[in-house]
Amino acid sequence: MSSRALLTEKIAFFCLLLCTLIIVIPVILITAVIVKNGIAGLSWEFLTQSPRLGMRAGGIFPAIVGTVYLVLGTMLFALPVGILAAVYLTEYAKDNWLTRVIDIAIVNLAGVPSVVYGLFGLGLFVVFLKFGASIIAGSLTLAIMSLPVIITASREALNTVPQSFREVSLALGATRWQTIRHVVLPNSISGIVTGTILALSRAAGETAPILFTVAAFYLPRLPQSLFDQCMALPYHLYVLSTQVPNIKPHIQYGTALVLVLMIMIMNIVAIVIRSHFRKKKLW
Amino acid sequence: MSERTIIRINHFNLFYDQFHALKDICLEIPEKQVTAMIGPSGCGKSTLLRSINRMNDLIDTVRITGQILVDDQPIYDKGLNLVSFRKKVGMVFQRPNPFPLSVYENVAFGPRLHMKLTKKELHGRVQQSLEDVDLWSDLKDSLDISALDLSGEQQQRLCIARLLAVSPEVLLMDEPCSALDPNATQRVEELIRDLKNDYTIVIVTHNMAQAARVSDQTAYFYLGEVVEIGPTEKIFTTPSKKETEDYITGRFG
Ligand SMILES: Nc1ncnc2c1ncn2[C@@H]1O[C@H](COP(=O)(O)OP(=O)(O)OP(=O)(O)O)[C@@H](O)[C@H]1O
Ligand SMILES: [Mg+2]
Repeated sequence: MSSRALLTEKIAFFCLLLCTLIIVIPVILITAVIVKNGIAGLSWEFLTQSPRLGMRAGGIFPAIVGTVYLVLGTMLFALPVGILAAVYLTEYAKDNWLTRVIDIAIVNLAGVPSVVYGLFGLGLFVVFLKFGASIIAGSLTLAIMSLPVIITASREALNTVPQSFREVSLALGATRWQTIRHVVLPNSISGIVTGTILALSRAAGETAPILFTVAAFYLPRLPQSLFDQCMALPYHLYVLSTQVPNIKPHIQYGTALVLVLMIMIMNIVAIVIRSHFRKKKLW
Repeated sequence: MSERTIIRINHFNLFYDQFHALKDICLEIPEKQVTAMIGPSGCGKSTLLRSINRMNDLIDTVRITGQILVDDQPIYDKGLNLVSFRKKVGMVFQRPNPFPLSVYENVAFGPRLHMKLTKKELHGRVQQSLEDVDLWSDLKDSLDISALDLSGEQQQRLCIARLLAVSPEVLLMDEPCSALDPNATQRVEELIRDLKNDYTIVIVTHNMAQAARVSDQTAYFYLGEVVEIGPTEKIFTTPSKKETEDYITGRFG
């Protein structure tokens, strides 16, 4: 290689490295700032008690519980619908105009801003179906927002199952459903679960979709039923940052830290599942 | 040697959309013999093989005309029970494709779907199938290991055993040895010769010597048509068509 080519190579390499670092730096900075300012706020009391003194003291327990409920509720609605839709689209749907319309709809749904989902949820679940602002309305709204991502991830996972597995199974006299049940799903479930967890972790941090559909400004009592409102971490953080003057920053940052940690744990679970199955290298 | 015809292909045409992939194929495949399909790449051998167990149903763009009969039953008739039909006609693929399950579970897969067997009966069936492909003595103590940890040859044998476990009549093999080394190929060829005592075998191969070694009947395909079909010995020594001779002597393809 000529020295000139070598130099070009070095410069190119350097530029690539730089771009990569530019991606990483904000992540590190954000995390560092949140951890630095928030760690002081973390305590057993903070995690297990209700806010007091106009949210300037006490903890964020109801918001943590609320977010957990919302994530579980979202999963309950979005996972079965998402998987079944993905199975239908990859395993059964013929390539016709209807399928193409559905494809386009899914792509576009993924691009709809989350506040629009919030307004949609308000219109459909809260007002029209008369659920009121409630966990069920919020979960359904978050579920609809997560569906495109879950469906897309699940379809990708289903598509990684070699076609010859399906063919062998059919050639052994399995029905289509038996093939899906015993061959396709077991071999794609890790990808489906991973994609779903990532979608849920995204939903856990959203404010706009829950703003009008479930989130309570201040509700120290824990929700008793699906039709109750609840507090939620992202909205609580928004409230603490904009609506409560003279609040100690460690409470705000502590809340942010808890939210980030929750999401991070979900992502780590997803990564662990994926690498676990990757190690077993299926085919 | 029985001379009953088990598969009868009558003026069979297949289109991928507009592309006419199989043109007016007429073939008879005798029971318990090995029929080889040879021909250059893209001439439609796999397509025909996949038509015989209706695997092409999975492809939306496929249209067919004509008929294929297996055991005198027209397989493209609406009333056909696809599930029990497919059981009768098994398929072995180019690349061994065991499920990512244990050796035992791979073989037990088919029987579990269809037969209400006791544990003991199931085990017997698995053992019998593995014995039929000469894997039992090697693997009887390691039935729990993942099928993916086997060698390529063992995997291919396992795939055959997996089919045998549902008692098919016909085995369709699409270049079953092309992913194996020469020694393994030779041993799998021996297996194929053994299997023909109990099963009808249709094998696609690019290996002329292999076709000559394992088959009783050979069909030469070119551009979606059957150019010539006949006893393997005749096709390889005194083919009646010039194209066949050119292909076999390697001037072409
Ligand atoms: N799903 C498909 N859609 C459209 N065309 C196809 C499809 N599958 C195969 N073909 C075309 O049909 C023709 C026959 O293909 P086929 O796979 O049957 O050939 P083959 O004889 O098995 O070739 P090879 O020896 O390379 O395996 C080829 O021209 C191929 O491009
Ligand atoms: Mg082929």
